[in-house]
Amino acid sequence: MFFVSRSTDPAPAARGDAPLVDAGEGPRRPAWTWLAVVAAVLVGLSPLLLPYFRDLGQRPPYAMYPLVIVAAGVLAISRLAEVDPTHLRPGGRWIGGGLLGGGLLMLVIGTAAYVRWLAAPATLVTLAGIVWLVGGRTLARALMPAAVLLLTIVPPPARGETTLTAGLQQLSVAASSRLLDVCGIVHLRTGNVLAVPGHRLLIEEACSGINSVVAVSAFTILAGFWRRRPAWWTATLLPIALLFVIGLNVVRITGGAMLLAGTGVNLFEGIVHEWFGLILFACAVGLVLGADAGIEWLGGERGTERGAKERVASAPSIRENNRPIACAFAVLFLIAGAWSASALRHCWPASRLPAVAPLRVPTTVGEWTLQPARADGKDIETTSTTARNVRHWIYRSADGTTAEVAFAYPFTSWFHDPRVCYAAAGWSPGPHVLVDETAAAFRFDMTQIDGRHATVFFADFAEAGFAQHPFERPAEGDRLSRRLALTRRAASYQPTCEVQTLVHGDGPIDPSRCERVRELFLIVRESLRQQVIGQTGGGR
Amino acid sequence: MTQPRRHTTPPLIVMPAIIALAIGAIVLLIVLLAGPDRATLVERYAREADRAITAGEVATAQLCAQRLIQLEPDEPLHRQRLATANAIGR
Repeated sequence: MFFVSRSTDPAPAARGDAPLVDAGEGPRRPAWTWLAVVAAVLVGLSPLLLPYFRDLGQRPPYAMYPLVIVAAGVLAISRLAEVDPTHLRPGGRWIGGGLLGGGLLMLVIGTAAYVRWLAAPATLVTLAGIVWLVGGRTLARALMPAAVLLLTIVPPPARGETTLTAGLQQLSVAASSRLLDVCGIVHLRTGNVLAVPGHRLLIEEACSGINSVVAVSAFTILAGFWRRRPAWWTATLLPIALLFVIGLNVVRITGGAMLLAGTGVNLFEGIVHEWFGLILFACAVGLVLGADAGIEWLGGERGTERGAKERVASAPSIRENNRPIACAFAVLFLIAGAWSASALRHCWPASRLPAVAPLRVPTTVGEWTLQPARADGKDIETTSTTARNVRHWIYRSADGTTAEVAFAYPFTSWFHDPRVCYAAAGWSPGPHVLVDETAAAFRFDMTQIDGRHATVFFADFAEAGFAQHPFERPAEGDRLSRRLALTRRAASYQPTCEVQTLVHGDGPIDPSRCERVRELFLIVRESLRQQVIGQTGGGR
Repeated sequence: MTQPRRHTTPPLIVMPAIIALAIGAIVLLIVLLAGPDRATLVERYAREADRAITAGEVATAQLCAQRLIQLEPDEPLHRQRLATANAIGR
């Protein structure tokens, strides 16, 4: 791949010449030393890196991260092929060592503070240090595009992308609502729900196309680098790409609502919904390529020719021998990695419940009877949750009261408060109150602006079976220690399931009805809890 | 090496992007300048709600009434429409 030599011959050596023999260092050394260093630091980072990727895969906007890594690898290889190895000059050991030290420090801090997000910057900084030690500025410049591309799969810390996606989601729905008003389509928007007569559309992240934003952004950056576009070119293309994504999804939401209102055909369910997402992504990619060609047509300068060799213009100077420092850091990374693996072995446990878990609820519970799956298309208030997997059931009592039961899983990082989901759906939830100490079951009431009321019972329990209580922020200690206590708590959080039961009406729910719903909820919750324990083996 | 070039007509691949941007700009202008204001929406939904109540279209009547309450929360007539629609639904 590439070699590092300490040639004293000022004439540049052409590729394919016989290896140089240097009096100071001896024959050329193969790159396996550096490959071993890279392997060692990656092994050291793996106890923090693997949980990071596992968490990343569960975030829909970043689920395509393996493709981005492959694309970055292809980009790196293509750029490396253009670098003349005989003209690589190792970078200064202070900078390289500093970068490696920074990566090591982030690994240690991430392990001590249970912050797996630090695995991403630690890896990038560490690899940058190795690149610098191997080939200095030349090699770093060649591999910079791959590093920038990898940055697209590093989410903002503390799940900051949820704020962005929530904002884009609301923007898409609000814009669609406005368009429907212009088109004269009767509809109602409450939060992220668009209702047309007889139908309700919950515009989730996937429906609003927000998941495409990251993917299209990564593609735009990749295209910019692959086509050798200047930085301003890609910087101009990026917001245009985002406009295309948001615009296409507004069209999708608006068109889908119009079609639903006019014909009853729902494009937001089932396989059609999935295919539409892919088609939209393909359209966005096509438009980005078109915009790229458009900038070129408008007179933008093309990038540098492919294959231009990166040459070091200056005369050879004192060469750094950076292997010792790299090997020393490799050993340190292995030691730190062993400690990290030991410290984090019980952290961030994965869910054992399959995506399509075979769960059943009782057919009758006292006066309540389980109803067939909703096929009549009637407008029924649905429970709201952001979990990856959700199951719904409807119970009806003798007096016609309808109670909706939802089972959502897995929640792996934090106690889930469903009031947030209902607020996003346009409800105004009140505070939750404890209704059963043993089950850690809560209840809250909520209202809509049009006077509709609903009561929700919910309870969380771990897959091992024990009840999960809301996090209580520690009151003692300074800010840092309180923060560390929270991250430690989040890292040890067991995969959790949530059961909800919702009942709604045109006015406040009377207490006797609430009590009957509570009894239904507790029985169904216990039934599901026992099944989850059975399917996951209970306990760890 | 740079090769600036310019053609009188854009290549085919550029057309969809240009059309998309143009349509988006036009729609945005229409929405901002010609979109219905609150009074127009209230009038439209009130008319539709009354028509739906007369025709017995419960879902439409309920939805229109809910939208009216959303637009004018303090207007008791809209809540009256919703109550009437709910009563028809029962």
